[in-house]
Amino acid sequence: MNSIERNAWLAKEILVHERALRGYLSRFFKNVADIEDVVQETYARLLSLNDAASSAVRNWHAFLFTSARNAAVDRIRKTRVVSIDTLAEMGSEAVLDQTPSAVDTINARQELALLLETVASLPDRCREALTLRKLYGLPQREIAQRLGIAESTVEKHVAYGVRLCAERMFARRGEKRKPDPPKVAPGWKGISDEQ
Amino acid sequence: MNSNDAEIEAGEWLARLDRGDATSADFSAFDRWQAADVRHAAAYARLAATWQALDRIRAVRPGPAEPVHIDYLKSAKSPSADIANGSSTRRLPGRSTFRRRRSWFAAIACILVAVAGVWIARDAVGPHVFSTGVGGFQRIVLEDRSAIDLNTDSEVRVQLSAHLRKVQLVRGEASFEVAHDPTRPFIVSVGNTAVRAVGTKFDVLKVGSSVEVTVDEGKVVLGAPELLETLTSVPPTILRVSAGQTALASGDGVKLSTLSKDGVARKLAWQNQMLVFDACPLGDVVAQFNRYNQRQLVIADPRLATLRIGGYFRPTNLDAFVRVLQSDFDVRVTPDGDQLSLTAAAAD
Repeated sequence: MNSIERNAWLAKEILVHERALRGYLSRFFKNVADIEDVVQETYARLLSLNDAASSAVRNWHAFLFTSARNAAVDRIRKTRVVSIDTLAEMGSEAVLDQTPSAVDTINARQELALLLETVASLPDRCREALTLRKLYGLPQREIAQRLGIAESTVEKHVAYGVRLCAERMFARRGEKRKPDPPKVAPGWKGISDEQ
Repeated sequence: MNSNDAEIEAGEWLARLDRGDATSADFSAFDRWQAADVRHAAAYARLAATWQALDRIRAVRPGPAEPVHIDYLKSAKSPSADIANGSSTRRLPGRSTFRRRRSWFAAIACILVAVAGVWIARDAVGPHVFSTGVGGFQRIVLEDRSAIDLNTDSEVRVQLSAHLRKVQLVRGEASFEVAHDPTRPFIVSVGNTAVRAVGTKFDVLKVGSSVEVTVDEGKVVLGAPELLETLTSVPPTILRVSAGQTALASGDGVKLSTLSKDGVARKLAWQNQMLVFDACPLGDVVAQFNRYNQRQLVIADPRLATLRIGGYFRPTNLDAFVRVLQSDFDVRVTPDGDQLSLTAAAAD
């Protein structure tokens, strides 16, 4: 699998379940940072699979939740943040035996609407940079010229924009979480107006 | 290192590499960063997948002739002509903060409406299926008073919702007389091609993987189904087909041509259950009759290919056509199983 195929697979089979996965993990962790860590650890485990192991997986939804449970159990053992009862509950296969819910499976048309909604919802400068980059396919250098800003500023809009998009497309639940703004370099005021 | 730092750094790496001018030193630094912590690779993969998914918004990209518009995705409403009124005027995007804010809300509203429309369509009662067999004809009047004429061996699936009137042409040919309703676009989809109208008369014919759209009155727009159904208004760059024009959409693109008034009438004569030909090559005439009859005509003599036919015929009255071929066009007709073989009578 090359990186393009891997990314497509990741978005289609895995990231669409991230919201549900966070919901599942929130039963066992109170702290959002713990959930973040387990989600990332779960993705790391999935990505470390070799091709033979990947091709043996029949149901990525179930595999994802099983991997998440294992990652969560490891973390709980290491940090002892929850009770033994919780561990027992996490071991139950019942919670894992779920087919993807209607909310998780979206068709191509809804996906396009979601992408457009996500980009439209970005802060002004971020949205402009991503519009030029993704809709028009302009390189960052040309975007900098058109917007009259430094190339390094465009780079920061891209860096922040992609994180916001991932957050809004895959992670956002009932309450709004927002990624921390990037570390601002001295003299740079790129996205501060929207914070 | 916590996961949030990994994500911030992953975003920075993605943006750096996206500049397209990364050096080999950059790449080896990136490789070292990815290898340093398994979470780095995971955070990067997640953002890279998101970044790649965003490429899909190019589906709504305006045509290459359009000037670049940095607010294109913000003001979904402004860079569009209203197809309901056939207006071709364009509002340029506002520059003032007030107008920027207002159009931002409008854009979000449009998108939410588009998404809601999809949900309602999905949740409404399943599509109504109408079909005809070979030689059949059916006129369907929908609840919104739009009318569909279904030609021979055709099938449509109709789904009306609060925001959208959707018809899928599964096979064959259908003509549409669309009741005017600007709040509910009428979208006919055939495979990867769709026609969007508000109030107009047009014909859609599926031939293999190609689609032929002929407009009788008003105008329609052509595009990908997912695009036409998602947008609540249509950008001016999308292909329009006007009255008297016919568009042939295939894998090679769209070929637009203009027909004479008589040409349109001949093409749509089937609505009166007639076939009308004017110096039409026999091959095309035979192909038309074969759509309406189980008994198939086969041209078995290459010399007949240049023969041109004119006249009015009932498509289902094959015997009458065959008699005319024999008496007026010197064609010999030989039954061959379910087929009728056509040869030149003067051959010997």
